[in-house]
Amino acid sequence: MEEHDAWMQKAMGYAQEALSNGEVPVGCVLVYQNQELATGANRVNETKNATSHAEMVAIQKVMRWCVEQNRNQKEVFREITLYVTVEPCIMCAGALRQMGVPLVVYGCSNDRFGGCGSILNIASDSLPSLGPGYDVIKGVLAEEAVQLLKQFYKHENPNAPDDKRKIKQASAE
Amino acid sequence: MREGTCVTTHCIQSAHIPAMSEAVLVPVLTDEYFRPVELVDFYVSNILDRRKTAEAVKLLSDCQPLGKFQHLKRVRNIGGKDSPLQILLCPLNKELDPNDSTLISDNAAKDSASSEVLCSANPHAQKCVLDADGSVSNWREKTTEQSALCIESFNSEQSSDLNLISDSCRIRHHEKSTFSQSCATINGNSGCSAKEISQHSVTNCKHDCTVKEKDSCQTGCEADGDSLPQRTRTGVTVRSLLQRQVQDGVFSKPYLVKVPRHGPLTRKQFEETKLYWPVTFHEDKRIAKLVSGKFFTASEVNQIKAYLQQADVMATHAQQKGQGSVGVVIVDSAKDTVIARGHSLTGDNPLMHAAMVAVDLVARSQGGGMWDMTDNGMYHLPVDSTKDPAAPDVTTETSSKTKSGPYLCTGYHVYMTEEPCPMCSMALLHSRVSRVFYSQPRRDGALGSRYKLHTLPSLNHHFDVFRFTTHLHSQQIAS
Repeated sequence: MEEHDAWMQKAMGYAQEALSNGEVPVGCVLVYQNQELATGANRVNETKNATSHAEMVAIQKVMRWCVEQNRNQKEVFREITLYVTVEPCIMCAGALRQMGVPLVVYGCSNDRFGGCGSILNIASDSLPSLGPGYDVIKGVLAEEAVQLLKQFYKHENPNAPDDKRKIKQASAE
Repeated sequence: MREGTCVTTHCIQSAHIPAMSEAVLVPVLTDEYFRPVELVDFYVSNILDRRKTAEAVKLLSDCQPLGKFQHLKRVRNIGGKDSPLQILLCPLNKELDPNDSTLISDNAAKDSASSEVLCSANPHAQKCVLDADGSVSNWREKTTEQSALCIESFNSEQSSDLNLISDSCRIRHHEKSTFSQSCATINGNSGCSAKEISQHSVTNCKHDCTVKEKDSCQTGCEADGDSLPQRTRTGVTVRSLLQRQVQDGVFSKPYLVKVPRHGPLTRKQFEETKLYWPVTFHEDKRIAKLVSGKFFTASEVNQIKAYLQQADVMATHAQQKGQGSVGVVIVDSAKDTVIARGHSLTGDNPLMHAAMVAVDLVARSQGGGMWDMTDNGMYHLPVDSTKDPAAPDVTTETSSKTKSGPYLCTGYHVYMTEEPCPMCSMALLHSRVSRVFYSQPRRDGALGSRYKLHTLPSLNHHFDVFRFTTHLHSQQIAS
């Protein structure tokens, strides 16, 4: 549990970074063989691409790393644990499953878009074409994650005309 | 075909989309628009004194509002001019105290004579039940061992009540043999709860029916044993009201009929639902237009086909390059301009499905982008041209708020050769597209096959989805 907290604390740092960049404060760390392999923070506004979530950013970094290091991508992802401050959305949950990530640890639930149980359960529903499901641990440093989101939503996202990606706190167990 | 080449609409046969001449656009809607009529047990009485109808309706509405059965009309005429009216009392309620001495047992001794008239001599009491489900008339011969069982299981000494109960039992037993296709029948027969029923998928129905048939008569009867209603908000129970009405000769003794659980959402459902009980129907004009097959004009259909064919050409390119053979085109519908044209790049990156690629191409048309894309066979509108020349040149950071420039894929239409997976469907939703057209369903697809993401009420953005198909009833089959 302490280990989870420590990694999550790191992820929280990247969420902070996103916040200071005017992005929705979600951060993540991909841990491979007990090492930090890649980190990610939301880059939606920067990339003008609504799919630039922290998880996607980090996954892409691992892909690049695999190319550079000439490593088998599939095998690497099979040993990765994702620590992310907010429950992955349905899109990211699908991406994680397709990459074969076996374990996802998240902070607060995402009752707007959550794909690991809140709206849909992409993590464990029977979806044979996406590969096997993965395990989920939730509620790690949930309160901190919520506080960051609250800070963000106090100041409106200057790039979003509507209530884009509004993530509310749900039960943090 | 080279990038930017205009594709004609003339009947191109393709592996990715159906033959254009035969295909139609089917809206992908939630299952409730296609569900068959589901029936539930409801207590009714015959109104023996028709002059008291209005008064009775008012009294009942006060003490037992229809609630979630608002779609049902309170009273119906069973047959001709002189036949009695049937009035809805209350749904069969499992939460009732089984030890509550009901109207039936309270009055049994006093009313045995009159109830016998009802049960045996008055043909309407039974006939109407039969009318309600449209089944045939030989129920009387169906006095089976099962109904005998029912009588035994009903702990009462009042013969007239037993008649009533066993009648309804027989009738229900009879229905079982004629209504095996209806989910609702299972519900009514086994007396199981709404939740249990809603979990039955249509495909399981037949199976369940045959399995449950063996014991459903008895369980149905036990549910009957619970019988009538408890206290309502006005303090007057339906039971006490009924006691009075029955004693005064206004109402017949209550019995069960089957009524539709849900109000109709489409005209087709309305036509089916009203066969069981008169219902109100407020047509949703938009839905009506969507399911009518006339949502698009002929020229719009041609335009859609043309874009789907462009997507198809991209899919073919992808296939030739050893990528996943899915193509996609994103169009600014207001200006009828192609913003992005691309295909799957899963050969390079397992997450670069066609929709993910296209969303990033749109981002590039706005000066953004996130993926490493080495394939140069993709198209996106050049960055500067996405700025509306008519819009004032706003250079401040708040420019996107004024909606003068494009924001993500807001208002764009997406044309795909294949249904997007959950990841891609959510990517399109995050990107705020307004319509998605696709031709081939996909295993675990999230816009119709496995989920209908675009219809989930909890999500903050919704869009319309149309499937281009030669299979007219594919949706009903799929759901």
